[in-house]
Amino acid sequence: MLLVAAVAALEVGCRVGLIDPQIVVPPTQMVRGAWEIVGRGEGWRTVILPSATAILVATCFSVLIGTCCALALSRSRMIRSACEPYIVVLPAIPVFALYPVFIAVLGQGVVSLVLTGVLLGVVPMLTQVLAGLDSLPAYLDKLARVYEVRGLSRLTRLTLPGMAPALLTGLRLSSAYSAIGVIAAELILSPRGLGHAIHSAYESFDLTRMYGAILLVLALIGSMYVGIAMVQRRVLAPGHMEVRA
Amino acid sequence: MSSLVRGAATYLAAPIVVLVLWQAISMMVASPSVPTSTDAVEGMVDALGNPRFRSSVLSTLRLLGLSFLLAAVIGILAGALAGGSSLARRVLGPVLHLVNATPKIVFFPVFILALGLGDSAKLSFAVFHGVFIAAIVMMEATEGLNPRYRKVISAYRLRPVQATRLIVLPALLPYVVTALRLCLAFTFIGLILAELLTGTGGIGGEILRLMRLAEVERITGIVLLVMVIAVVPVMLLRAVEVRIRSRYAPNP
Repeated sequence: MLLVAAVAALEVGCRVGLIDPQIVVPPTQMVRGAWEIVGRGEGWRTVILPSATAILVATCFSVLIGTCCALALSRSRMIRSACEPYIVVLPAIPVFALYPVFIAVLGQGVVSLVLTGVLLGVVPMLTQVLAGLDSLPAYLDKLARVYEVRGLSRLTRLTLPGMAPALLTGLRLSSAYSAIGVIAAELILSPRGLGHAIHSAYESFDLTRMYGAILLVLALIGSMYVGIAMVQRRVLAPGHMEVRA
Repeated sequence: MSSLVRGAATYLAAPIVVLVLWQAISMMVASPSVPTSTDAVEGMVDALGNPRFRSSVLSTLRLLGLSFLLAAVIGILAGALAGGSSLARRVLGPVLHLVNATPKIVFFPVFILALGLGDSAKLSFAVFHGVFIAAIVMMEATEGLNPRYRKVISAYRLRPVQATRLIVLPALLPYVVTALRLCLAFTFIGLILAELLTGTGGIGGEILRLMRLAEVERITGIVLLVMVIAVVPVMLLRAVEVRIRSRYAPNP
């Protein structure tokens, strides 16, 4: 309700001249800017698809690396206690500062973008999986011993389903953070993508296109976040996950 | 003494392993575009010897201090006030969470349009980047204050100033340190992003300048310095936080 009121106030403020049109354009014009990008085939090819692909790949790697690292850390108390203080402060590191290094080493391409996204997305996944492993009930251990479930089978049939809530929360946060990493890197330096669209539109003072691209970024990340949250609610609904004998 | 050495060894083990692995991998790759960890350290020392770079570091630290102060004061006060009122919580809570979840980086061009390419845009963006997390932590902390404290305040008929000084502040102190730690981290990230995007001064501006000159060793050295600036104060605040939590932890 407050959001709708704020958008309406912004529209009115821009239309009656209370807000400088050189700084902010009316929300309807922002939507038009977004539609101009989406409506064109070239917009999809050079703006939305490159970002969406990089975000998807970065999310997949973040989830995979974060989960594997957390599982490896949980195997050794010594390694975990050595890494724990740094895991807590990892989100404080401005990973974006590494992007110029990636460009210098790997070139200005999708690999550098994905790497920036992975470095940002891997931290929430790692912390969520570690928290999930810590919260596993002790009876799962006994269950595994009684039924002699070991190795990969134990991982896929007991451990991972047992920490499904943490895994899904990790996936939700990891995708959002990977997206932020990719978009930020595109804003700093990239020949295509949503971040580049914002940057180039701002440089040419095309505010309609700039706000349209900002709206698309928010829509993309918001829909990813809400989509995963819906899956999470569905999967974790009572009665959905049952222990099969 | 031995526990002190063991503690120091535990703390230093992870960065040493990372540096050794980095050195080994870069030596195996043996490419001029992949700097070794010793190259990076040399690059950092070399950069710090340059007066121009030192003034850029000082400029970033000055802006960081100012933006952190503003973000922390505004965020902590606003969050504590919002958490104390159910109406403010209902109205502001979803807005704070929504803004906190959005990638704030996309709004940086708006700051440039409104405030230009100077320090005021970088400072404002850094505050914008750090203020919401502090407000959320404090709002949730105030909301979750133990109801027994309210009973104690009314039983002893404490005046608002007395209640704040004797009950509310000590109860909120661990959360204030958490808010400060997260606020510092987010403010610094916002500031570095702003400098990288404007390319005008500061550590971020230096990184962009060196990127155009393709000086990989120096860039890596500067990034190493950025990590030290980001991690050390946050780790110190984390240590304070752990100490305060163990001291003020509520009895079950």
